[in-house]
Amino acid sequence: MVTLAFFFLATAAMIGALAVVTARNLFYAALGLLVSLAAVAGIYITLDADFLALAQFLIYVGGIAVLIVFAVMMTAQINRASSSHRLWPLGLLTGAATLAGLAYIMMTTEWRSEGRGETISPMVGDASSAGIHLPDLLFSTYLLPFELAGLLLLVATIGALVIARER
Amino acid sequence: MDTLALEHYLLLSAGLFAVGLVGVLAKRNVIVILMSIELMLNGVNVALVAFSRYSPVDELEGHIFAIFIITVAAAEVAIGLAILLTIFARRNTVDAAEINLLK
Repeated sequence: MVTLAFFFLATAAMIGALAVVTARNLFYAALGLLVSLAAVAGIYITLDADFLALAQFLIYVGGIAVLIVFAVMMTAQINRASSSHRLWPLGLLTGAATLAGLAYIMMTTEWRSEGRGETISPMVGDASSAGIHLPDLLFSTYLLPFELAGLLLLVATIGALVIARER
Repeated sequence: MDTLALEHYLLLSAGLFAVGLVGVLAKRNVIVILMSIELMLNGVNVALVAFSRYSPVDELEGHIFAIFIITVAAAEVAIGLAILLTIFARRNTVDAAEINLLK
């Protein structure tokens, strides 16, 4: 069941990602991004990361993707916009080499994951692994980065307003 | 059916990252480049959460990292799109090859 869900979501995520890169129409690229981000939110659920799945959905799908769709509509160069430049085969080669290298490292590494991965089945997952520890960690050990993230968001908001202001 | 292993998630993560990398390197439209960066960040997030889930000890550090990555990505998109819209308003282009003021 979870395996089936994973393969479905992974396929959706990859199709969306490929649509971002290959779509001629910029709007379809944005929709592909939306599909990919939503599928990754589902992937988080298969990993017992319920809070992250919710955050992904609210921030990425609800915020970032909608912002990008707005930008697509406001710049309105949909037809000639999505072309690749002259050296695109080089980019493709770099991407393929990166994927091959990562896959090779992944396959040859001995992951010590068997202990926990198979005893706890995903979806059933105990509440403590997703719901209880995360805030404890966030508001104690990682309190300073948490506050800095808030400051970063404030600065980014003001910065975006100042940069995009009509002059 | 075969149970899910860490490798499945890592392969998905590597795939998303590689597709995003191709987008960043090969596309001309700045909006598509921004979207591809988001894809790469998402790929990394999948790997972090998968490592956290499959780690032998009960740790959630991977989730914490993923949350901060999402936060920084949100800030980055807001600033990036603001810069993009300003450039478009002034120079009427979103082509990375034509945005060469600093050359």
